[in-house]
Amino acid sequence: MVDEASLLARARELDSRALAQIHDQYYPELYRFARYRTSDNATAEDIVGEVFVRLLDALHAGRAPQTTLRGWLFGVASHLVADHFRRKPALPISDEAPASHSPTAEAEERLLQGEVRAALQRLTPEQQNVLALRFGDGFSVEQTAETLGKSVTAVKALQFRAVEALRRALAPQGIDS
Amino acid sequence: MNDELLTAFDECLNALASGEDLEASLKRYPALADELRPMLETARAAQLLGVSFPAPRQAQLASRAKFLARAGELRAVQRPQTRRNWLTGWLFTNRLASAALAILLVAVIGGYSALTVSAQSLPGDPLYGLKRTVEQTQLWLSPNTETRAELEYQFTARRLGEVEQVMAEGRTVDVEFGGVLDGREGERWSMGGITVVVPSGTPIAGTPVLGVYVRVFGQSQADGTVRATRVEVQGAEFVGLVRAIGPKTWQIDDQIVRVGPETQIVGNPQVGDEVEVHTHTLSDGQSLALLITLTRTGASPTATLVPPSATPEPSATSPTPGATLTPGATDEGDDEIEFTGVVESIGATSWLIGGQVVQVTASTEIRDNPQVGQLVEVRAIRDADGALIALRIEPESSGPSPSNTPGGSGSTPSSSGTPTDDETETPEPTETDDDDGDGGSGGPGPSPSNTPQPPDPSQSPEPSETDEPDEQRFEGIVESINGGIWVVGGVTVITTGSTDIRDNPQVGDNVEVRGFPQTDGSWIATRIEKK
Repeated sequence: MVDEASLLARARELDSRALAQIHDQYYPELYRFARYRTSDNATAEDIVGEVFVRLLDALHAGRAPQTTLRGWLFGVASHLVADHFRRKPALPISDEAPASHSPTAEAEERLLQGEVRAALQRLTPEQQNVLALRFGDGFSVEQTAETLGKSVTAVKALQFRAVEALRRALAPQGIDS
Repeated sequence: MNDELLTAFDECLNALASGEDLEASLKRYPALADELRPMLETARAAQLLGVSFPAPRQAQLASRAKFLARAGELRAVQRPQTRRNWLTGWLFTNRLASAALAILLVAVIGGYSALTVSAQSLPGDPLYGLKRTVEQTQLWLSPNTETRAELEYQFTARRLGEVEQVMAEGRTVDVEFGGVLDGREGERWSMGGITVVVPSGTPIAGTPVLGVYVRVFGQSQADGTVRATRVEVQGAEFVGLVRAIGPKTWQIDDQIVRVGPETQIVGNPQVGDEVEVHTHTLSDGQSLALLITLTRTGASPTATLVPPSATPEPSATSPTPGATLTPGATDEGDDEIEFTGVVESIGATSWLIGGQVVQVTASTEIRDNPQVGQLVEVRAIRDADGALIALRIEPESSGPSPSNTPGGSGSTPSSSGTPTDDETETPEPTETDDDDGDGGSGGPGPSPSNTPQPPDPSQSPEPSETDEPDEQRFEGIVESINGGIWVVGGVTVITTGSTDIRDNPQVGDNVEVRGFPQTDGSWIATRIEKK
């Protein structure tokens, strides 16, 4: 387990090894988070790149992350995702290939995925974040709690409310699965 | 919404994520099934959106290069630390010396100011030439090749930042910079996020293929591109077998490549594995690895293979934490691999097992609901991109209990790390009961077939009153000596300034190695003695 305190201390000195380690460690999970939230590869790349630019600015200005580094990074990512949707409210059409092979099933699956994504946008940012961390990044409840700076109990309640809200948002379409 | 419901919901979510059927997970909580079912069906739909999105490699590399380049720029403008206390005290008590020093300072201040200002100059600025001269001087004065390599990489990153800055200012000036070629469409190339227009007829030295490091000379344009006047390929891309792994260099086939903070290592390759390497050739001819990607495990034709099981029964070994890859045949075809490892994390579509990311799909057979911290046996295949797709995951019958394994449920998959910069807590080496003599899990890498078998960590090290605690020893034939990296009996042995090398062993000699085995299979030697 990386000693985050010493990693951050070296990062504040703009130590290239520490910074490279931070980028290698957190880029993939930040990307998955941003990709789950925005459904777009290019947008996710831009957001994650900006997260690291802001990290450098904060380190250089002496404003080191006060929470855990992961928590800080995901917090910035969450704000950037929110900014993105304020500027571009329309969701892009996903180009990911559904698992189905028959054209009919494929079309149905794309439709369902689009409706689930649209319904996700109606959740609060906090609810969307918890689903992105649990389902996009595959974080455990404990990891999610650490990232969000919440207790495990709070995260369990949050994910329940998030799925409940998602279910209500999907209900008019008669969609449960 | 009570605690029982929340806990039941969470447990069922985890079960679904690990591939369990909805009805099977609801059977755990029959009294809550009616309430849970619609919630879990909805959750399943949201989970399916989380199809694994691995970060695009080129995008990650480009982001990394920009990130480190920007850090280099910020370091250049950071004020140097000054130590005033002793100086001001000395000046106060030595007034004559103070006056002389002041006169000297005035004489040099003009030059020093120029140096300071030049550090922030950009291509096209009057003092930019001075900046480049200072950099060259630093390179000439480098005390060793490692410092030179680090400086050169820093300056390379600095060039990239300069180009970005002049383009942001809309200036048209001569520029030069280098980067990994990550896109090419007709005349428009992409390197480190910068679009370079390479008109037909532009002199190009070398073969610029995607993934290779190139250097561009040209002019920044008002439209945010660079128009190239010359292109030089200054790197290589090749595939080879890892022969040796050291803290600062790797040997891949016959090539020695330098590794450092700028090197990204994907897939945790070990000695004997096949890797794809992207390098940047430095001005002194050193090859600096930018990216090392595992493409095939245990690919050496002379590697010592762990004998495949006759039946897919769990091994009788009590393996150490970490993955043991057993390349080669299974009963289902040549592309399948089996390995054992500790489950470090369980995700919706991928697990981290013994440091390996393994994708799980609807077809993955997961037996007995393995948990984080549990030792499991994995049967998997590799897809076209080299990713491992699990066919089956099941607990290994004689593995350690979850409480004895590293990482636990708090660990998070990470994409890569350099074996030379490993700050993670690694498990203590443990003895294994290796009945079939296969070298055991976590043991040394493969060895050529015509040399003695690699040391078996399952054999109890001979106790000696001169051995330090936890020091072990083994014997083998010296296969190669490359600076501080030896290969003895197929094992990478790293020597330091403290290593006691006796009787001047040469390649081909039988030696006894004493030292400390590492979790990556290499050893740090305290003594090497010819036998």
